[in-house]
Amino acid sequence: MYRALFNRHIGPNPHSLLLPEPVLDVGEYGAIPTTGLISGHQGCVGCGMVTGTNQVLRALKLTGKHVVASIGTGCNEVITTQNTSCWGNVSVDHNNFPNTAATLSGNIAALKSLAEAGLVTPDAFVNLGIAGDGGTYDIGLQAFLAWIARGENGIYVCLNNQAYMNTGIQGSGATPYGTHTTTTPFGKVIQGNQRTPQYLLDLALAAGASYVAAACPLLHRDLMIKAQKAAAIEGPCVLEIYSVCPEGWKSETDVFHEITGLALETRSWILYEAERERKTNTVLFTLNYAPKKYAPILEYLKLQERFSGMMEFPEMVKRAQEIIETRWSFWKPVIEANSMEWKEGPRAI
Amino acid sequence: MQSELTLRIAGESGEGVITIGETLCRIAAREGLHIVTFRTFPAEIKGGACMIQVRLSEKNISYHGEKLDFLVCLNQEALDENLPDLKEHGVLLCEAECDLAEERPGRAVYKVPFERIATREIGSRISKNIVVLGTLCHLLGLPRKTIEGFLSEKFARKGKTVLDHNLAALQKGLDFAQRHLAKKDPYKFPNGSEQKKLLMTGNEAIALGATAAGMRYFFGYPITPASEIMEWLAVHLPQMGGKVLQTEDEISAICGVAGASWAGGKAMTATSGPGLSLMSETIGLLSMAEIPAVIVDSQRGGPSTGMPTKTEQSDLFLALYGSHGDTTRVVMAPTSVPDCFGVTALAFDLAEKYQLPVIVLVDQALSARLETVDPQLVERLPASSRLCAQPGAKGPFARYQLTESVVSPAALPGTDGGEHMVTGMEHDELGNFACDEETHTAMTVKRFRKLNAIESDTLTQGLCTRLGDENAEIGIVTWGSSAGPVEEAIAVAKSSGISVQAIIPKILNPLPHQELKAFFGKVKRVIVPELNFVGQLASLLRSTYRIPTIGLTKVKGVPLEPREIVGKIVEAAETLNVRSMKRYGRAG
Repeated sequence: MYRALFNRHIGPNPHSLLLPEPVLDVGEYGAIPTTGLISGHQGCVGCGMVTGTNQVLRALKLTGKHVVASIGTGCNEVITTQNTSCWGNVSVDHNNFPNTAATLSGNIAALKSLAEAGLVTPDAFVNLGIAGDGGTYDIGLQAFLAWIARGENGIYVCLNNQAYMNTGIQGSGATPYGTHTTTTPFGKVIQGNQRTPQYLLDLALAAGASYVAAACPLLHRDLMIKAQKAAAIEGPCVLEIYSVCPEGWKSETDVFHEITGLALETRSWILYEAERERKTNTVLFTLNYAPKKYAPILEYLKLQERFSGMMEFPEMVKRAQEIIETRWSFWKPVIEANSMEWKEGPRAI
Repeated sequence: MQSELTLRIAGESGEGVITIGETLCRIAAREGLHIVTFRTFPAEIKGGACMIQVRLSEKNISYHGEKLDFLVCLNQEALDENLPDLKEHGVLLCEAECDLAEERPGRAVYKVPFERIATREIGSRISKNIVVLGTLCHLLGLPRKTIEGFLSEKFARKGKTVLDHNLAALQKGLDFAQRHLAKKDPYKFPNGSEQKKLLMTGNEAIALGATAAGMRYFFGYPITPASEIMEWLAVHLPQMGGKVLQTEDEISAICGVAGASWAGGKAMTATSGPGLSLMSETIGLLSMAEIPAVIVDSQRGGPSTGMPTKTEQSDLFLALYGSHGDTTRVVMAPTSVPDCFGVTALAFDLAEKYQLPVIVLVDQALSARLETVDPQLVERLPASSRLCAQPGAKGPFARYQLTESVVSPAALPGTDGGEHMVTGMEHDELGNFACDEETHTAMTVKRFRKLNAIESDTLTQGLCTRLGDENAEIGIVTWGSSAGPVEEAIAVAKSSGISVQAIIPKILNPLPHQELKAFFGKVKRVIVPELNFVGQLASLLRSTYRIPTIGLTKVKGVPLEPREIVGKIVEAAETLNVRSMKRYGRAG
């Protein structure tokens, strides 16, 4: 498959082993010209997905290229299609639920041949695909993996809110263990979702992605650096963005920061990136955030009513913690290599 | 006192509009009243205009009502949008801050500061809807104790504070109404019968019907407006020892059904138009491999993603013809919530008996419609089962044996001597791939003979609803949820002296030829009202029976209204008078 290497540094990484120059590291939103998904959309109060998409578009604005986006059916489509002007200067085509990545391929192929024919300026576009977790983990997985396997030059963004929110909060392939959704109800016979999500970014790497990264809108600098890297790196790049959903997670609308912060500190959402050097087929993994102190998963679960059923089942909470520890064990080498003193606080990025 | 009441509550999604409507429905069901509801869903995920219309009657009804007796509006936008539907002498109850453009003398208007009562006196803005219920207790004479009981049930889980807030809200609403609103209209909650009724939505009735028929394996993928079927089953099927599996897409859902059904279980999936499109290939497989399956399609505005929260009857062609090759399938269409139960259960009986896929077509309006159902209607047992062979140990098992009765005995996988392979390839009696001309012809005929057998089967007799005057010259053929407005329209036409008859087949493939032919033999005009643009049922009838039809189509995302149908009836009546001397060509 590939040889894995761990980056010895932990933190946001504007450098890349594939890029000669670091990408722009912008701390302030105001430094970036206006772009899509700022106003006019119909996202719910406290929606993390809107912020995430907005940050991706801001970052791509910094590349100076025109964004051509293919979006799949889902919340992102529902809240942006009643007033399409909310996309700003992004060109968007909306396709069916399963086909985001396939349509992205169509966009890429056509623009490439138009450029070859001299009808459009080469490299003037960023090809972007945006879909939700249902449209990526479930129905869109085939198109997603096939697109990566074709090795085309584009960015695929998965806005992961961990269930089908648009159709009324049904469980998806990304729904965490123990969650109550309308199709994984918490009852006497079965207690919530019994599955654990597959690791999307691992699948993408195995299929041959050039660059994959997990991000969250709370750490916007990190997210925007990743989006720019994805735009600059040749080949298929995948960003997975943690998207808080107060409607589906049954959380308060004003605890966006607290929930995301706890997701990072409990390590239920791990910020990392991995880029592939094709010559040596080496993949360099970088951990972008390592909490100083690991918070117990219970604290994260308590903030969201979707996990309320688990509170009466300590063994389920224990199992949820085990799932996290298993995943974290992958990062043991990089943590050990970085056993040096922390100079910055964990929130410094 | 009037014998029925049509009431609409309109406001913003999230204001508890639906809770008010559902509470009224629950009270009415306990009183033994007949109920039909209609509700709209906002396209937004949160917020947006929404309303629920409830028609309560002492008599049997099948339509949610045209003009309103009673309108409740929680904001100005709702008032502007819904006031035109209020009767001349209707009642308006609205938020005190709303402006009325004009006052009409015959109309009773009550203004109540719901928002202020909820925020200032209760300290909980979201209790506004309960204040409305309190006001309605006074205005319509709703039983307060019953509502308190409902509230206790609903909010028990949320703790005492929430419950107390809501009980206080009910009291404050009632107090305000008693103090400030002098009753100036005649409307009251109708009187019910003794017999309590069940209250369920079309989707719930489908899920219940399926379990009554013995369905224990459900495979599905979330899609509006069919998701509630999976959601209801996710809660209830495990308790019955069944299994609900949410697959990664619709193709997997129907293939899961194929697997479970071949292995001997009764299995089902439920979806909407986009999902049925994806399932089309496998419908061909089910037909070719002769595997029983039930597929529910709750239609929504199309094509493509279309209008997910709006109703339409535009998947008939897809259900009839979707999938390549000569594919056999049964297509059924219930007309009401009690029908959803019965037709879904019957779909399993037909699927099992004839070993083929059965598609049940409902639509968004019927899926979401709350309606009362007589308790004895849902007492039902499976009426048929799969013909299973008792294979001996000698020789290979002929899964596709050509028999007199069309149906080949099946053997469950794992039965000694019954080892066989089912396949989507054309095959001979043993299931071996065969593409010679005799086999393909014989097997195609075998599969299509099932449809003839189904048409004459006792299970499918009486699947046509007949309405109106049997001697009328104007006839209506319709399907699915459009039956309700047609029934109303016939009554309206009768009151103005035009007699009309209607036939509503609940099975659309195979069509009930005998009954339809007899019907077309009697009428001189055939009106076909339906909710799609091209007139799909009309087209089917024209091509099958070679009769001229008068189409009435609508693609506004909402159900047909009786007055639209009455308009067509009047037009048809006029042409009959003018052209009565001319022969009207008819065949079939």
